[in-house]
Amino acid sequence: MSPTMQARRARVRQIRRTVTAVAVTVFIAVFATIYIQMAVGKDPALGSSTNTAQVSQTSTPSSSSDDSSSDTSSSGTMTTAQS
Amino acid sequence: MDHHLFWIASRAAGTAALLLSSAAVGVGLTMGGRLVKGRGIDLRAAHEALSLATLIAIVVHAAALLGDSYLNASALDITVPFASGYKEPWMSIGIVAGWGLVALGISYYFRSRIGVARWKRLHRWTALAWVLGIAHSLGEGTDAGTRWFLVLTAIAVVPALGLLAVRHLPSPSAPTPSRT
Repeated sequence: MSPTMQARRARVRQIRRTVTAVAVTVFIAVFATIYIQMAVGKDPALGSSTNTAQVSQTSTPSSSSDDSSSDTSSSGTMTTAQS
Repeated sequence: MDHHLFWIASRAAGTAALLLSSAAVGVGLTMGGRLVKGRGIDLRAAHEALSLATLIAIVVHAAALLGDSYLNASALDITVPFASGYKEPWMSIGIVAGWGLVALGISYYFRSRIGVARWKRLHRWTALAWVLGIAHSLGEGTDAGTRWFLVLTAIAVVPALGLLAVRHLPSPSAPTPSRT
């Protein structure tokens, strides 16, 4: 193979390597951005972390103070929104 | 957080696909319009590498959705337009754009069988598939409303759109054919 051809092949290999590195870097950077955005509760779909978990409880008016000690957590449901 | 990993991967791959395809289209238009002299081989290698990276990103973007427990998408939902009914018509526009880019991209390796002149005419449709991809990401993309996404998209898409306009819009200085 001629030196010109070898140099050309080396240049093409270098371009392919650069594009691969750029593509992987872009993917990791965007992945990290979305992950952090989600972790701090600023995801556009999930919103703030406190809003994502909406605990709805069936509240019954308590007639006596003893009722307040009853466990109502079992009626709570967690709902998360994703789009 | 861990149960969102597939979803995050899909979003990241989608953004990467948009950026890489914009770069591939930009390089392709630069090459086709002969805007840079004497760098044909470099541009061709970059165009091919960017196109292949785009195709991989598209496959990851779609395949990652199969693992998302919320969307619970089937293979049919992510490959057949209007099969899922999720966020239509943007989902279907994305599927059509994805298949378009995959088919037109892979056709490069069969251009001698297709015929070079025919393949070149066919290859111009890649720009339409790319524009459909932009519409899909802006219409359906979860991050379409975020500043970082819009800035990244603008940086990648605007130059390529400019090159596309230069290529397809009639030049005002071009001589108009006169009837004799």
